[in-house]
Amino acid sequence: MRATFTRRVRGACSAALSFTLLLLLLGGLLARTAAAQGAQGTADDPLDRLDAPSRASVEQALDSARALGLPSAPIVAKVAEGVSKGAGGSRIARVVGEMVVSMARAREALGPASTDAELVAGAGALQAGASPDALRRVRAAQPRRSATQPLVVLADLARRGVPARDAAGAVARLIQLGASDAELARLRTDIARDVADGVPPAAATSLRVEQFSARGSLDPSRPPALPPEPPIK
Amino acid sequence: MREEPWDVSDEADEDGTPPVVRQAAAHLRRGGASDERAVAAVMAAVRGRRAPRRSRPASWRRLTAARTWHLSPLAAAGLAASLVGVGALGAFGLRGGVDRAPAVAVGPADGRTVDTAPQTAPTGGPAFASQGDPAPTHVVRFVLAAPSVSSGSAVSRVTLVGDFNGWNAEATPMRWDAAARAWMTVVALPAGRYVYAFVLDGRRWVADPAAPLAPEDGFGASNSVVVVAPATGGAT
Repeated sequence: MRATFTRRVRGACSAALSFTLLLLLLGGLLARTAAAQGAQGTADDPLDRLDAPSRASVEQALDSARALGLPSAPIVAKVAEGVSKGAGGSRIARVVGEMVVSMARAREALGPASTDAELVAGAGALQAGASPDALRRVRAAQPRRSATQPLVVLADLARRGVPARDAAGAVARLIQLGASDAELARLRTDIARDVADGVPPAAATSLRVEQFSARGSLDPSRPPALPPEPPIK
Repeated sequence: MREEPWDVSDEADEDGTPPVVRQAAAHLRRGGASDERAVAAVMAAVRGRRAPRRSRPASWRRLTAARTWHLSPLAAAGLAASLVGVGALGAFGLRGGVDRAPAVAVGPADGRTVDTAPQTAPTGGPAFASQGDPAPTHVVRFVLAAPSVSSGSAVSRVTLVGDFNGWNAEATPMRWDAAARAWMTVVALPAGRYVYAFVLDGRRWVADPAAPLAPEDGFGASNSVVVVAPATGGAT
């Protein structure tokens, strides 16, 4: 009788111990999953990482962008970039504000039908030193195709020291000569290599444009360049 | 010998005990164990009682009957660990599948590739292959040649960051290709313009030396730009 009672007590203790262990393990697993979900939630909204005044400034910039019909995704991405690079909230807010202004100027120069990618690329070109008139020249030279790639090349040339006016003129000329996006990208690579080798940026750009003009194409199998299309009115 | 007559009626008392059983118990306590009539009466009473009604089939009763399980502590701990393991596999296995989704799309479905200028860049840069169809996303391969970034110092880990992964420095690790002597990774991207950079050993942010430079980022570092064209999926 006593032995039976002892066995039952031991069994009950073992079951209680196992159940407690199981609960602890499951609790740990749930806590870890909740922590991961919490971290994911933070990563999903970078504004949560900003202090209150900076967040208010960024939200104001977002409201302005929406009111102007500008894309908000690049703004949120810029906040995430600043947070990831360890920038302070006030600095992030200032950079975001400048970005909204640049996108608004880019749309004014490129036209209301511009795509989001064109707007962001145009804003980048403006921030790199190009003028709104340079953007208009690129748009006028490429009215029916996406201007994203030419604007990216324009911003890159400006960043490498090519005077913005010369860079805009070179890109517009290349487009008028019939350069494709891929050819623009290759010319940009060639100019960057020349500059890295010590050729003055403006001279390197002028040289490569003249070479392209003489050959008509970087691709030997490609027919000569066609005259530029008239701009859409 | 018992003289009192045995009550073999079915009228049970409050406990449900038939009167004959109660009488037999009292008689036996008094030393009447040899009374064969008492035994016979009890047996007759027991046989005469109607068996309890079995409303469910035997197989169902066996399945639903309560059982007592005996487990050693070690076996119980093993069972608990197995349950937790199954749950963990289910939770983290699903997450891993989602994270790996873009890599599944590597390679053109129809065997075509779109070669673009950065593929010929001497230092690597972003080399691109695309499905070439009007698919919503295109596979873009990012390449960082080691000599151009390490400046003589060893780099043990490189990750890709950009506006396509929320600038998360842990989201897109690159793998070292010993044959090409370059760090590589592929990302599935819709058409558009993307800004990106490389993070070396979790500390140093560098732009792609073979790609177009993005404008000043405003935070003191340089970024690169990749354009994924909508028509062909080519990236420049």
